[in-house]
Amino acid sequence: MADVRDPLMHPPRMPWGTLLFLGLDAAVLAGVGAAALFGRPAWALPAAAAAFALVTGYLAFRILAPWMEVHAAFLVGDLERRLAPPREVAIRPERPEPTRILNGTVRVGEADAVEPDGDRPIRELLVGLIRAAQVNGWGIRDLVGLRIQTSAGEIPITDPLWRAATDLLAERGFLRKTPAGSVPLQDPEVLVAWARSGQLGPEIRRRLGPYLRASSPSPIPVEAVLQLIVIYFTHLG
Amino acid sequence: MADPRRDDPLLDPPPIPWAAVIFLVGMGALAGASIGYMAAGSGGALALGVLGAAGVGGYVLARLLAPWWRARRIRRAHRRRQAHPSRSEVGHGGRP
Repeated sequence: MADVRDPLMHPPRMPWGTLLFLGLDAAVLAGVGAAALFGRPAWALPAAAAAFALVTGYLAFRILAPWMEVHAAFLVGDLERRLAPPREVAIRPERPEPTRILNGTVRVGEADAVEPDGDRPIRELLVGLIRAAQVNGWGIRDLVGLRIQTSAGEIPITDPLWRAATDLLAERGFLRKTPAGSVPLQDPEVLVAWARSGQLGPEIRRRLGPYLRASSPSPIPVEAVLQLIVIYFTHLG
Repeated sequence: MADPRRDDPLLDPPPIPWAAVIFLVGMGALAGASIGYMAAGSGGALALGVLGAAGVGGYVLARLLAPWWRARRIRRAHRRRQAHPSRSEVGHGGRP
């Protein structure tokens, strides 16, 4: 079995063969060099020993020193992490929150969370419509008056919106439209799964997009401001 | 194989690479003795050899252990502070 070592916790292995080879290489060069340069053969052995020790010691320390730095940095980081105050509440509900209808508003819960892509409000609208119909019934009379909470605002369920949504679902074989109301042809969970993360297509964006845009309030009510200015100047005049 | 008991780096001292440390100590002694012999004969070899061994060994072990000592000291101080908070750190404790 291979020896598993954490590089932050365990020192690196030493390439002893390479170290000794380089040390002996340096020793031979230093011994010959000392005898030739200083003309004293008696210095060859001590010079060779010194070169061997200095070279191998330097190389071994060059291998060991980075690990000592890494280990020290790891200790400091570990200490800071342990002493840091908790940043968020770690307790979460055991089960994700389901979609609920509260005071006439359908709130898409964590259990039905949609893909956070560009179609997110449309997906939330579809999930809300399907869940509302699952609870209240698949006719517009069952759903009128309800609102759906989306990331683009609250969308009231109206007859044209329901007609558009059911047309789109019927085109995809999810339900059949009858004069008495719509009849789902598949399990609502299949519809919800498609609305959450399935391919929507440009037709859905084109038909449902206007309902989302209509619901988002204008950030500056220009007409109202202009009217106030006109009234102000009229009264002054 | 990694030691499974070594699970808290702040409580257990770091693993000492003894082979590398002993090798470095030996090389420190050899280098010191060689240079000492060339400079001052046998007496110099003995003095610088011992000095080299002790210096290198002490330096390497200190580099290995000093960060752990520091981290351990900070952690102990923090735990002591948590166990006995000072007056300024204590909340109002329900007093009006």
